Amino acid sequence: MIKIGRLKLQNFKSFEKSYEFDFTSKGLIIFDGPNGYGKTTIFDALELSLVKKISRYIDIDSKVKNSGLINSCDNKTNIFLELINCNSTNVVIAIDFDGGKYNKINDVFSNINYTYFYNWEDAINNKNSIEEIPDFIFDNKVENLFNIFNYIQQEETVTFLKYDEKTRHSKISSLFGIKNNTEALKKIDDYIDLMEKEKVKINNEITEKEKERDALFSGNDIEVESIEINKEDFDKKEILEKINNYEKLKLILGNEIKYKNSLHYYSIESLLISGVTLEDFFKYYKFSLENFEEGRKRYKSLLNKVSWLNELIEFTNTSIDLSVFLKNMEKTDIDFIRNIYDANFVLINGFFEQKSGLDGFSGELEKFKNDRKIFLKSYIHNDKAFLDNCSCPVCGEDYKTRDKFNEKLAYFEDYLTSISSDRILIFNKISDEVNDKVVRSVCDRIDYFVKRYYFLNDILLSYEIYNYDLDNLKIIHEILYNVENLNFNVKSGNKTILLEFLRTLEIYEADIFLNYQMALAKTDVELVHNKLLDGGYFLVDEDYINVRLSKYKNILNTINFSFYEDFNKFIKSKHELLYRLGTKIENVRKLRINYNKSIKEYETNLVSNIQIPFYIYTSKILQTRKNGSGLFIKLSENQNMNNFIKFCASKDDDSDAWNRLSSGQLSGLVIALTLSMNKAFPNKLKFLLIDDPVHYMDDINMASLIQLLMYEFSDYQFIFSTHDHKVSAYFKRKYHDYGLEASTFNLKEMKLKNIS
Amino acid sequence: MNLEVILKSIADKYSMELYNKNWDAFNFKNTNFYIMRDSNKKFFYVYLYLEFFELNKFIDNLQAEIYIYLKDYFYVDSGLIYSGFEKNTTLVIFVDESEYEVGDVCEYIEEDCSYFKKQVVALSESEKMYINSICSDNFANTIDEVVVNKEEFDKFFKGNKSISYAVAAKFYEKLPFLTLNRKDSKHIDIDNILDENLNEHDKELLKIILEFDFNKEIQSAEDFL
Repeated sequence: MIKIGRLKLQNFKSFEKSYEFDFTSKGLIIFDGPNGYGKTTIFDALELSLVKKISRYIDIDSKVKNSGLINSCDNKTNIFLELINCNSTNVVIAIDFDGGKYNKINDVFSNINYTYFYNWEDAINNKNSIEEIPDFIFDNKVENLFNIFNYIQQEETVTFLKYDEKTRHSKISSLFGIKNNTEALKKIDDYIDLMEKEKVKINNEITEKEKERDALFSGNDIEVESIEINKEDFDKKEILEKINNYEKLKLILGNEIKYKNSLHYYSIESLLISGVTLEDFFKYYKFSLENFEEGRKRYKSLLNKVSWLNELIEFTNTSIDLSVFLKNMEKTDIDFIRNIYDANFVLINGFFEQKSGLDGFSGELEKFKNDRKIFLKSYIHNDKAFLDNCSCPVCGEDYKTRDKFNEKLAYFEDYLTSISSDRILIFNKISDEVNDKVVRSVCDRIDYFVKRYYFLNDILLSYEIYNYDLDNLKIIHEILYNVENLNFNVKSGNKTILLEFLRTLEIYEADIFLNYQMALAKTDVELVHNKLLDGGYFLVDEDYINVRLSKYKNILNTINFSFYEDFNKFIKSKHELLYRLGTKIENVRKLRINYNKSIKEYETNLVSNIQIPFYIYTSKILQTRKNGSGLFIKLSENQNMNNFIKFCASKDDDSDAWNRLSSGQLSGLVIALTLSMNKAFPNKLKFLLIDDPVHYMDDINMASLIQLLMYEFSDYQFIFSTHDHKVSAYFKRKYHDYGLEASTFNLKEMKLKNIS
Repeated sequence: MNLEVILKSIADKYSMELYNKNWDAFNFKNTNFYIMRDSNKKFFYVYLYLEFFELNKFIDNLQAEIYIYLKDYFYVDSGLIYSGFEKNTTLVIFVDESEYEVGDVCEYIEEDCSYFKKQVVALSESEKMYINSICSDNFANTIDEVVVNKEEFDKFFKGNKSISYAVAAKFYEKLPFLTLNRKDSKHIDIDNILDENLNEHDKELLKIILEFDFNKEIQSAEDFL
């Protein structure tokens, strides 16, 4: 039956000077006084002496300075604690440390000196020390059990309320003395989690590699030819890129409309960027989109069909062969020319008749004249008769002289000429009429048409849409129409909004456009006038692309075969690793089961032993608890669940009473639990430290508690703290009335006395 | 229910003195009081049996009258002179709860801090029958055995199916001086259980896990193998 005798503190926390307390033969010791006068420090000193730690410093940041632990850095700290049995000294534990030496609190803790003595005087005089506390006083398990059996900290009651349910239950494990074990169990779980994550990672790696391996030959619809190549000579990435680009080209060939659309957007954007507003574009030339296209078409058609009329553009300065002109008019299918021709058919016909008549007479006359000339020339130069007497070789008339003969020749010549001029005059007159009525009319129309449509050519060439057909332009029109529907005022020429809109549209097509451009850049194919052509300017079609795809895929396959084995080796090694890891996880899971089973076994045993006292004590202390007497401890029935301990009103009650208890009742519950442990498993240490047990308790529960302690634990020594002097007086009086000795220490008074 | 026999048995077991007093002036159906005094002669337990309808009277002003009566009795009549008797006196009221739900009233009485610390023992018909069945000089020993009986407790825990335990628990709950008499159990160390349940391989593995640096970044699965 070991209890606490004397306690002496010097320079420990708020106890700067030397303080000595004698608890010998006292059943109840109460420290009272306002906050900050060292009530909890007394408990710290006792805990430090008995179990070499201060619980509330355990989770403290290691960087915290030691200023909280010692009062002055200049003096050494000393604590003396006497343990007694039947009022005689069993052992004195002496602690000393030099707080001034260390900055960090953890360094202080690891440099505390513990010395043991058989009597108080030796301890104070530091002589005749013994090596360690004899086993018969307490064994090395006291460190684990002290906080279950002998010390209820303030935090264990009040701060429980702050925790969420899971944390709270893990904290409850500390009341059962298995805090380290639950932490170990959590570490096992964390370890399993980490391994499982690693397992997933490896599995993913395997899947990825398998995919890569399988992808080596997937999607290859071309029969693989065996090619002997040195894989070092080929850059796989480059080959893949080529294949990819040819695939893209193939895709584009199959998505021509989309590609063209992308060009539309590009063209309109160019148009806008070039600075021409749509208003200018359409309004100035007074063409709607359809008119524009129609005009352009007509112009092109005109140019093609009447190329012979080009010369007529400068008609006024040139002469013309009317016959050819009219013949071409007759042959043309251009409506307005045909119309002119038909309207002047009679005139034109007359022209050709006159021309025909003129052509016949003039021909004969000319022929006659020529023949006559040749004949006369020959005769005059060669005929002897003529030379002698100048007789006419035709009619035989003798003119006597050459002059007379020549005079006669001139006469006939003039006669013939006069006949011919009359016919020509008639012909010229009709020709002039044809010129006026037909040729000029046609030329005027052509001139008008050329002037009217020629600019379109420039416009189209300027804006790179020369080759658009009507369908394409309709798409552009539709786009612009949509823009107008989006409240875009084309007339205002707000290019910014339109450009934004176009960019939105481009999103749908841009990828194809870009892919196309990029694909082109990486192949030997180029775009010429919207046609895909290879280096030799052969038209690129799907067959062309397939041939190249086949070539590169064959090369790729050959390369891939060499990679295949590498992948397999990698995958195999990962499978082996996975197997080893899986085995390890299984083993750790088995460990976890065994470990958890052990905790459950311990808890079950513990609970089985403390269940009855706990029920009775809670019913006594928590007298005013609504709807109930005592509480039951309920363990999780699920073996897999981590130590879930509940405090329930009955077995079937699944709700944890902890959630419903007030802070005062929680204090009572924790005290009842510790008292139950002491009742079920009595040990040598017959003292219990409770830091502020009744702080939150009402008067009834407090009275019940003191009754329980007096009757049930009269052989125990209780050391309490409270800030309420009335409470300490009440407890002291109760103990006295019951015939037990009790002492109260007002720390404020003691300290003031010490100062004075 | 013979309260006198029960209380006598308890007083004997706990070395207390028991006094019986009849006070005719009280308008109770049962006018008998029982006063128990501990060996130090400073703690008193006053027992009385009330009908359910009498609880209201008790709440209103009866306890004041009881206080005055007991004060006179302790100072004058009985010669049990003790200046602070009211502070060390617990009033234990037995009440029948066979016909009425008395929980709220009992709670109200027990929470009332005036005059005395009060305990209300509400007994059902079956509980009274059980008490009658064990009502003898040995009553205190009987409930003492029952209250630490694990089997009875388990039955009680599993749905209040043990009348005997319910009765014993009520007496232990309401009479503060009743103490549990149970054999000591040996506290089994969890380390011993672990030592038994874990094989050598488990222990080795556990050591590795406990020493494992969870803050370290995992490089590969080999870190676990």
